[in-house]
Amino acid sequence: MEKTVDIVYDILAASWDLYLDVAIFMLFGFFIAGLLYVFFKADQIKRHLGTGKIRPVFLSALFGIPLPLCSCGVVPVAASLKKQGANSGAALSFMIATPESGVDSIAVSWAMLDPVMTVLRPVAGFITAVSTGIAQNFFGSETPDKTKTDLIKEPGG
Amino acid sequence: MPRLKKGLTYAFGELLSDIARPFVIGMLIAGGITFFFPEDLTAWANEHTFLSMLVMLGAGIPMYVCATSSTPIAAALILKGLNPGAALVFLLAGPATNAATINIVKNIFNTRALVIYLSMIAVCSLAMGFFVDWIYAFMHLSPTVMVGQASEVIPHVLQLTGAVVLTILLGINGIVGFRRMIQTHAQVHAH
Repeated sequence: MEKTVDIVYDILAASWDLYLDVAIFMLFGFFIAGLLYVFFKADQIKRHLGTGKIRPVFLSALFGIPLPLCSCGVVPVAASLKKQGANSGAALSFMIATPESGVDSIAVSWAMLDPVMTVLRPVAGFITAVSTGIAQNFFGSETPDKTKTDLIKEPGG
Repeated sequence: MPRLKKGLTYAFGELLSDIARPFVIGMLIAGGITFFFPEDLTAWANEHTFLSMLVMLGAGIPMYVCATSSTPIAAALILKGLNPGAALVFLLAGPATNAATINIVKNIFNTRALVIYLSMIAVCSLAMGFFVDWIYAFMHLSPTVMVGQASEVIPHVLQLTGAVVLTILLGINGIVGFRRMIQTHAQVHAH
């Protein structure tokens, strides 16, 4: 029993060490996220996307990278992008780029990982998002599956 | 100024409460990894670069983890000697996908889009993983040494202040975030 307590204590101590490293950067990340929210509205992205199979994919990935939404928070935004008429590739690209990286996770990466990873992480996220979006626009189809539930109407998360 | 206030209210309220719970869990998992994992994964990871990436891919795709909370987990794994490429695979595949988004992509788009989505994420993550390993080898960098170095310039008092402030904010918002998460799950299941 005493040993279990020791283990729990050691795990908490290790977590606390990491937490100390990261806390101040988290606060900084949230602050930047607040500024971003003021100048940049996620639901107005569609207006800037333009048309074509490649350009909107690039732009939506570019918008998505700094936005600090998690993988569930991005769903309603991606759904509304598609609803507003963005093509599937652009919506998928946004759906990947947004959760993979954000100003908060960049700040935390700087605190916990090294500069190489801090830079490469958003870059790799951007490349993944753009490749997927372009692949979708060239090889995917826009027609929904036959059994369609109306998930777009009621965004969760 | 009211706009700035609105933005900060969003960031330290809604956004923070979204992240609070997964973030705390992420920190605990990272602490657990630090404690339980063998002292040195380096030998294994260097010998099985591709396998370690596949393991991280398999773990990352279904896992619900946000970009911020996946960072301490990756950092703990790198400290234990995991190759940075495999850590990046986790950082890419982890936040981008989870069991819920897989289902959602199928619903909002279609099955074909889901196949493209998953396979492209897998291929790109692995490619980026190899690229990162190559960069580290090319630049003769050792990621283990550099982890945490950036934060050594921050004075301990400031770190502690940050931790206290963040803990208070997490405490307040954690409860709200927990409630919202339950509601979200209920909504997803309702469909």
